[in-house]
Amino acid sequence: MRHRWFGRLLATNLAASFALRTAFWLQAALMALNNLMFFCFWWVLFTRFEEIRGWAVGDVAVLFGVAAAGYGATAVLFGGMHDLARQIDDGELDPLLTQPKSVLLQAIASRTRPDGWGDIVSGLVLVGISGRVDATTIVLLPLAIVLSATVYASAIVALHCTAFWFGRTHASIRTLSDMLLTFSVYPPHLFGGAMKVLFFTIVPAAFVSHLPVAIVREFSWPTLGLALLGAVAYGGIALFAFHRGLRRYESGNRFGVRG
Amino acid sequence: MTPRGIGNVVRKAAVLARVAARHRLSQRAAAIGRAVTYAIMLFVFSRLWSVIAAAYPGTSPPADRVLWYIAITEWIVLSMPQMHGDIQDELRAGDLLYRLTRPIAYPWARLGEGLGDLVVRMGLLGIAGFGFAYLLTGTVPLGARELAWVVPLGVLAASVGVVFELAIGFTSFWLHDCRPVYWIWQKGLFLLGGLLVPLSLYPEWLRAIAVWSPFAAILHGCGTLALGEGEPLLVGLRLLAWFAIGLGLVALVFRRGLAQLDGGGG
Repeated sequence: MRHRWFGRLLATNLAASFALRTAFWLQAALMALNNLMFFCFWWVLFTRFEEIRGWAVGDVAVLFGVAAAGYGATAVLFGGMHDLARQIDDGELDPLLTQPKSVLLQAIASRTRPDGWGDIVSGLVLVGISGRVDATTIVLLPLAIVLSATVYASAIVALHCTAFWFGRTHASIRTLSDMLLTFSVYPPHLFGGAMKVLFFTIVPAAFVSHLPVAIVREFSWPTLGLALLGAVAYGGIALFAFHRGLRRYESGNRFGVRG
Repeated sequence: MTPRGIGNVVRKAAVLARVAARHRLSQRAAAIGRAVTYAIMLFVFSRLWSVIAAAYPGTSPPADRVLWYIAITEWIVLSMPQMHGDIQDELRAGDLLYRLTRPIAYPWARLGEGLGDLVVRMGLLGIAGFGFAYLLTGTVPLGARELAWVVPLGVLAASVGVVFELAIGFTSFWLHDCRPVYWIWQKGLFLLGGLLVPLSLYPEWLRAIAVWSPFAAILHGCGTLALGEGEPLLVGLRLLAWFAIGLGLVALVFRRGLAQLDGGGG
């Protein structure tokens, strides 16, 4: 029942974003171009230095591709999540509380971002041209993207939930989100032990890209188990933070019409 | 416009710049956020270049100089205020019509505000960037001459960026959303400007294209001071040329856009 409602919500969102067709294609295409141009940084670097700590250009293409596709999936499915703290702070959850559906899903999934499609397509293109995909890894790729998207969305939702306790936290949330994205698109081998602790905890870049990519590059059951555990744990943290926070939520006392 | 007229516009824009600078100074949380982002970028690239230096000894330019190069290019990029969104909102909401009646033309008022904002950002991030780069490399590879030039050239470079930001904002006269144009500009800075890799490490054909772009003038020009390669006067002259071209572009785009603007009610 719940996924039928979610499916309809998604279909409505997609229809709405397709309504402005030129804007949709322009935003998606330019985001794809944006990502491919960013990847040129690595291409330039690897034309000079063949390998960096065992990582070649193809490996970085898979890393960047999985992270971009995962991020894109969250932008398409949960386009409202980057606005969650503002909704909480401005008391905009009021109309959602009266609905018989999940407040969190309504808050984050009632909007979609067309540029997310550009991220998904460019991510898949990068993985495709990486030369690291074969018959086995192509089966694992959707799983890697789903895991990446789940942890990224959960981490962002958990961060935004701090607004329930601390009010206007937009600037710090933005900084931490940027930090997560930044560390997700650089090879983990560049960083030492202390940073790795950070990647498995506060800034979960390990679960957003490093482990999902390891599943595709060199599959092992322990890696898959750890990645799944991370996705379940971060999903749980996000749900717990939102529902605990919702108890502290104060109404905006505003009248408005929700379209 | 007569020299006196230009003087009047500059004076009015300077007043707006002071107001914008004071406003920016009051936004401490955003400034801290930008400084943290700056520190993270420098940390990531210090790791990357130290790994490269360890794997490929004798790499030129040396890792510490490359990090200072990135500190300069990131300082310029992070300091530029993103004005295109505000301009787009004003155009869409029709607020532009109210601003047209003010005693200074809208583009120059916006330029004044942007430059005021820029100067404060550059001051704060400049201090932070110098400290971060020194902490990460333990050295300052710029000589006294380069250090004396890097601040004025950095401010001039970022000012060229602000002028082009205005032109991007004015594309909202025709486009529903000017962000895609901004993304192209941003990636131009990234790739052709040599934001994270000095152009001297680029393949020859790409470097030949990049050096003729405003992007290389804005970022790579100042960055080369850290590599001990740049000629400050030449860098400054190229920036002034792009500043003049940018102003011309802003005036042209704004005039064309205004000519086809329809105002209704209010």
